[in-house]
Amino acid sequence: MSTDRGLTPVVGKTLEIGIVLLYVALVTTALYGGVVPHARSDAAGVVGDRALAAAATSVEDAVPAVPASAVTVRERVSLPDSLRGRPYEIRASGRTLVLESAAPGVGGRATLSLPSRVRAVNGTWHGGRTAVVVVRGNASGLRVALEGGDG
Amino acid sequence: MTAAEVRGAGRRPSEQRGQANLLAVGVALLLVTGALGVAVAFSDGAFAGVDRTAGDRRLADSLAARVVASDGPLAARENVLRRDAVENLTPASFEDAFPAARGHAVRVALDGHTLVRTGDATGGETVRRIVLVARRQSRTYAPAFGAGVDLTLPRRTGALDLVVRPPPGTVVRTVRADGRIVLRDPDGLRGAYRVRVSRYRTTTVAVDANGSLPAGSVRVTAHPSVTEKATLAVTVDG
Repeated sequence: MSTDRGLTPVVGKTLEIGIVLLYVALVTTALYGGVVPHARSDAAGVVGDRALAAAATSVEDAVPAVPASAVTVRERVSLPDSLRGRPYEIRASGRTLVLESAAPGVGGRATLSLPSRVRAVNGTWHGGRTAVVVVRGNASGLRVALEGGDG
Repeated sequence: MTAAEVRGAGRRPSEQRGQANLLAVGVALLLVTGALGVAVAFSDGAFAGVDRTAGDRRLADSLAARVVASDGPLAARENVLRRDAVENLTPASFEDAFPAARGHAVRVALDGHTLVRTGDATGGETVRRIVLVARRQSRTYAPAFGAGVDLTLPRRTGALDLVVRPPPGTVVRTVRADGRIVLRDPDGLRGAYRVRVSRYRTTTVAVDANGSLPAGSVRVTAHPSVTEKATLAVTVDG
């Protein structure tokens, strides 16, 4: 029996490699099967909330605080490219911004707090494209538009 | 006997000794699993405890900004609220004035005293701002005027109401505020007038007449505003 004793380390290492590989495969499956997607969805929901709040703040800040006879404001808005790797859009609906995405758990509405001289808010921003808020008008009425810019 | 057999002879009983490493591997994997479990538990806790009220905070911030904006329905000027408007707030009038508050539970408080509450806002996100609360008051002065006798108003005001009733035979030709002629009639001023003066400087009123003006012939009513500091708290809870 002592003649095949030399095989012992080979068998041992092979077994170890096999067990570790099996373990890694198991853990990877468990993590990517449940834990990681769950965490990504959670993170996407939070990031979506923040992005929507940031977008609403940008729109509100773009409107001048004091009535002016002629207003033209163009401001770039910084938004995430995608939420959970999926495209999304922020749409103006009345005086509300609506966040919509195909990703589950991502979405929401933000009511805009704007002065009464703002007549209308229109337009849509798409994730990944340049987002610009444009305010035009005069002392009696302002129009706010969410536009995609050219960079 | 070969040399190998000699060395092996001493350790003869450990037939299973060959794969003792596997035990160490097992323990190591167990430890890794434990660490992984702890890490996953921590990350789950972090996601569970994350602040998901970004929207509430944003709305509270923008409502507070609207309340103190210079063209807001409650503001006299930027960061200055009108006491009468603030005290007569109702949930309906508040939602009319600030449509963004519709559909949300909002509480507005001044120095901890609730001005208006829509819905059931108990917890939630609160944004505080330091504001001034202005109260208008009217003060009437009716001193005797004469050459070199002027009236300096103790508080600044934006407008003056004057009632000129000179005694018979006396003609009031001009009224000056800070040296500027604000009222003039060569035939004589008589009756009630309103003049605008600068809110940014102390006003001195001088009256030119062809005779003496006893106390009460010219009554000057000023409308100074008295401001107090206060903390405005806007709470949004869903």
